[in-house]
Amino acid sequence: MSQRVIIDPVTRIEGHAKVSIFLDDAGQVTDARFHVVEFRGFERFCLGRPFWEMAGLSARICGICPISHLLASAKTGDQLIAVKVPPAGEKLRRLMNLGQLIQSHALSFFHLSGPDLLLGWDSDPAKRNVFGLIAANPDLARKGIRLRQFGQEVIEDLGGRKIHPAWAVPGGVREPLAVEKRDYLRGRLPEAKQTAIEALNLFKGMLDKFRDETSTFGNFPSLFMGLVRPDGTWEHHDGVIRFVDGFGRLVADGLDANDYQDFIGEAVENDSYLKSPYYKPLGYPHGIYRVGPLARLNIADRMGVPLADKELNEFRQRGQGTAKSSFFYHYARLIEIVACCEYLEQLFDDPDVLAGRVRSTGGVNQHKAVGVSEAPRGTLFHHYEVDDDGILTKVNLIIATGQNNLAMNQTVAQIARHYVRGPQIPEGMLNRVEAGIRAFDPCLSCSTHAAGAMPLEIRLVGPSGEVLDQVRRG
Amino acid sequence: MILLIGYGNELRGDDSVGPRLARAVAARNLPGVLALDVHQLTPELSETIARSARVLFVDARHPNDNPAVRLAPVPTEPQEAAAGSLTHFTEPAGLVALARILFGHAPPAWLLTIPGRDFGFSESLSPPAEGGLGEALALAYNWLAGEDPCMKPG
Repeated sequence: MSQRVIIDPVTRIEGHAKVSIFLDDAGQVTDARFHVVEFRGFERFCLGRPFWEMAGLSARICGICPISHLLASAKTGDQLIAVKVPPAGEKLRRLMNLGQLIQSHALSFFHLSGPDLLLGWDSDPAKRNVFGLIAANPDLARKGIRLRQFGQEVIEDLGGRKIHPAWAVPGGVREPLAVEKRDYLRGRLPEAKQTAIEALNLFKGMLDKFRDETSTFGNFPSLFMGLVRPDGTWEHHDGVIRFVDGFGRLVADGLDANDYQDFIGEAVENDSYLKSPYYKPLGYPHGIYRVGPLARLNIADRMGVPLADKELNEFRQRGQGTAKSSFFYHYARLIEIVACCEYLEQLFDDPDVLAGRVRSTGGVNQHKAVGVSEAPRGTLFHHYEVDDDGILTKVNLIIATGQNNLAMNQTVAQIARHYVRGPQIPEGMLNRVEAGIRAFDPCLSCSTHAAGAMPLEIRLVGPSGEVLDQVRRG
Repeated sequence: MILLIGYGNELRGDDSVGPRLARAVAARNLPGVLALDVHQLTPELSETIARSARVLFVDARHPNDNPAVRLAPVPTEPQEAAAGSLTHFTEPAGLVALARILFGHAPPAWLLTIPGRDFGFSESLSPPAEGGLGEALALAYNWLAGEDPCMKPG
């Protein structure tokens, strides 16, 4: 029997970010909300499907980081069938995630944020995009494009296609890596690593110019969460969950993703389809935490590879310990690209990655599992519950952008406090709000350059709920 | 090398004609021909374009007032390409311009568009798009064989 699902959102602006800034009687900013008004519904329409399909289904949540969903889903499936993935399968999954991190971070820096950082936030929006960057610095633009291409080639050579490869499955992966592909990718790696180092040095050289942005773009203490290896080393694929506070103090460590409901709560607000996860022991909203590159560097004791470790030390000096400014996401992303290149060097030299046995098989042996992986934007959880036939009875996804939702709200509020003086939205604020959101590299970044600028609506709301001013772009 | 790039979203019905055509060409393993099926045009394609002698882009389009398969040259001069920018929806002209600026060569380029009718969520083609795909394949093979691409001006 067919069913009809009716979705009736209160507000909907397709492809736009909507921000509301609230003023008190004195005209001071009291709060800001970043609304996500795109409804997906994956957690509902997957029910009744076999869990084997989830890798392919969930990969279509996003065109930028489908790999992250593929891997988290496959890891959940591993537990449902209760098998151990062969070493080659595990390492190939790691290879793919490293490629994913490189291509996504390269996209973020060179295509999305690079134009802001290198051309300036007050430059002409029609030129403040990749094409403007190309005109200003063709050599850098060329290298950035090739760097992203390298990450995509890792994905394509492993999975058969750049977007939505049907490759990671419960138990392992579908295909081993051919030696000629390994050799090709290994040959491309030195250039990718060199570009990453150059971009990082360029950014560090510009940091003094960004003192204002560093202090106003989401600069506040919060918890940070992510995966680490049991010994505290930076991790992107497996490991345990760690929380640290804004001063680097350990709050919780060695947590198992399967117990996430003990330490992560999910608040729902009536003005956004994005859930607001928080650290449960501290309650909502005090349990605000950030995920993603900034968090991964803040929680890790070390990167585990030499160049990136050296950069992490400098990062901590510049960030005065635990880096609290969301502007430092850009910095952390670049360090992660370097780290990924170094880890790829190790894996390409590992004979295990060419082994033929890449998958274990089994039937349903568990009815509940939670898989976790570090997506470029942060920690990603896939929670499935199934019946004896493997049919999904419950699905819960906690995505990175959602976990940064509270922090994005605070970032926008902080920027607004810095710029808003009265009932009108000043000229420079639109650009800064856009840049503040972009530091988190949320999935909304996909739509930021449809016309050379992020489609964005900002409302200034007075104490009685009246709209004092409104600007819309795109 | 002669390059053919078929692009489109294969979950949106007739938008898949571009990738379908590219795969059909790729399956023939024609010497000196590289046929790519991609989800969308991205800056990363510019280097491959720059290494090509000529390039054919293949895409679906809304029929509007012209229901015919259309083959037309892609502008490669800076002033004509300026309207295409490297955004979320990159156009062939922008990519060809990028190939020249970044990699020193912009080959002659053409755009083959196939009218579609149904662009909703689907993995199949409408009958008009099926018919257009067949006609477009014939045009593409002529183009690959080096026949005058202006035989059927757009």
